[in-house]
Amino acid sequence: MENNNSNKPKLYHGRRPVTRREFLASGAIPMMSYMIPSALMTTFAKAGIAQAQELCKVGEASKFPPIVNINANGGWWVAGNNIFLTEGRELLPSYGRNGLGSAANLVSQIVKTGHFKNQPPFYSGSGFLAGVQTSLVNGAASAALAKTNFVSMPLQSQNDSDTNKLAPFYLLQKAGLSGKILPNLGRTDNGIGVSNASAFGMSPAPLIVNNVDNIVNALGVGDRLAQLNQVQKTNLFKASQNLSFAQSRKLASLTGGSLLDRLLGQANADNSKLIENPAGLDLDPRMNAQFAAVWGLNNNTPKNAEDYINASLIYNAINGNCGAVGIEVGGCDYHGSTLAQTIAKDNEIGTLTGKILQSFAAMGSPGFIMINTDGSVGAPPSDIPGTDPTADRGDSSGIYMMYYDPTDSVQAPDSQVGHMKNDPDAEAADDKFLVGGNAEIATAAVFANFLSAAGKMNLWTAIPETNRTFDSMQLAKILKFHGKAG
Amino acid sequence: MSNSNQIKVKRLVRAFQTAVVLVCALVVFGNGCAEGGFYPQGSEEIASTLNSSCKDPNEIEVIPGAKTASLVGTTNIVQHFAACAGLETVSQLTQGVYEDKKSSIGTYGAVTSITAPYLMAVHSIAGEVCNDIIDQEIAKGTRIFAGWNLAANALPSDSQIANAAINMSLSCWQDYEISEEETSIVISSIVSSIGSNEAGASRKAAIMMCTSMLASLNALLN
Repeated sequence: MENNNSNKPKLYHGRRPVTRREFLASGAIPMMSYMIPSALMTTFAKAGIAQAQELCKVGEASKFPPIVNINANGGWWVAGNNIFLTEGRELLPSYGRNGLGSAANLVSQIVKTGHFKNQPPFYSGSGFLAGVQTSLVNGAASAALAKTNFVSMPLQSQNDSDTNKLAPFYLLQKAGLSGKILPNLGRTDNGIGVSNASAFGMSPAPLIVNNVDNIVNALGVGDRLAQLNQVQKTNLFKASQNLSFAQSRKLASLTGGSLLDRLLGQANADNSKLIENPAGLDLDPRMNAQFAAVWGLNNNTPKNAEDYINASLIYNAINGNCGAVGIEVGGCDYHGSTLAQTIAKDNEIGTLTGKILQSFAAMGSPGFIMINTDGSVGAPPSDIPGTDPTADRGDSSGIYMMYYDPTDSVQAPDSQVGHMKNDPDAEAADDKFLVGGNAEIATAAVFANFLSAAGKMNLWTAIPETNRTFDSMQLAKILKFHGKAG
Repeated sequence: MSNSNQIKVKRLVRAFQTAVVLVCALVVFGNGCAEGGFYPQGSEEIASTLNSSCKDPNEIEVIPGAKTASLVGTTNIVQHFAACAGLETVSQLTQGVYEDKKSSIGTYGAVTSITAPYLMAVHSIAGEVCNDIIDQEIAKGTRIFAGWNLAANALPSDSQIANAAINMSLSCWQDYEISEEETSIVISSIVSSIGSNEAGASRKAAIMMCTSMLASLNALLN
């Protein structure tokens, strides 16, 4: 039976045109429909890939910006400094249980200008804000803040516990962040560097720094290898490098063999250079006068002074000598103390944060800070902003993120990820939102924002743990830092 | 206007419309955001970036049926060195260096944990283990450094160094005896940096040979 399907194209005497003449004879539109769309669609389809591959190349070639994780140990007044907003980015009717009083009284005490670039809302009595605005160098704080975007993330977390999975170091390592000559640096000797559990997995333990000499001693070979002179040590390293070079080639047929070859070759080459020229190391923050001034360092500063230690961590992170940095601020389980003591501790956290931001500025480096805590504090319900916190209150805990960008191109118009619950009486982070009720997921969101700010979102899908945490639609909701390529 | 002219005009209009649609499509999709389809406002860039074919630079390429390369990790590196070299007692000095350096060594010896700090730590620990081995051989007679006077202020001969290197490779290199080329690398590194009558020359040569071989890949394979 003849097929009379009218949908069947009969463009050239009842059949598809084949030759150039037949195409021309069938008319301009049919000819274009056959000739042009397929080629164009191929072009369209490849355009995305072409751009993405370009971004990919940029991401892999350039180094990561330094990232510092500050753990305010004990549950600081995280919801009493930056003001956590609703989903519609409005004030809750009351913040009484969080110590900030009624919205009617609070509204006149909100400071949005004169600090961070993207104008997040802060309580005017915030010790953190006051701290971050101070500097030992005239004008350094305001200059750094003008190029720093601030984003907070309301999150329910466990009070006074080191089991919150807030440490981001595993994800950072998976993304490829590592130091040239040092591992991650930390202050708490628990294999992580800060008093939190590691999100998604364990990363290599950091070098614990309680004295600036810890860093120097971690490099090079001391102890009984010190009996060798400089030339002998250099030859020793070159010998093992040359031996490994030939040996690694034989492992190419193993799973991971080619990666081993590359990493081993690079690490051996770096160490040989290091041993050959130890004077070329740039480890001491006092070597940069502008940087040293931010921290008030001089030749008489003791090597176990907090500022010298923290400055060393930040200096080596900026130089790329080490990987990520973890800093612990203890004494944040301060509920029940006086309001003045609470504000003083918040000021300490802010001052440390400010020095780190000013360090980025002094070195002309971008940099990311994540401040997290275990729980938070709450106050007896009151309409008066600035009520003394008296108890733990993990329902209104949260995370602060900051990104300093010397080029001033990164934007963060929305200064909050997630939101407070719609129930006005709860005064709590919305645990039904993607990141509000799970510290580990919240850490993934911080990691995503770090990648985005750094223009390295192309690495997101390369890490299975994060890739299955948020899809692209969810990412659109939680990404607040928008970098050049992110 | 005749029918044929009307048809021509219609065709021209349709061709023009088609061209306009194509140009619009090129403007909208041709910027690289088409890959992955449509996403909510604000997420087009994310979708484009996420859908790239970028690979993790440290991703391990799985070869079906092949063994996975891995190195000795922090949990057993001292035992690993001591056992292969026949060291009976690990000194406090070695244990102290291990404690200082272990944070730079990955726990499980994954290939991805190979960094400059890892290898620096490995060299430091290997150097201490080698000193323990030398002390043991001075006290109890030579085994790896057979025929050496480890207390002498003179370099051993090339053949003595080569024999010790063979002993070390048989003990500590996985399924692998040192090649002539590798022996030459070891000898050359020693004789080009230690004076023939330098104080402690024999011990220094032993340390250099032992450490460079223990810190090389064949001794680190798991």
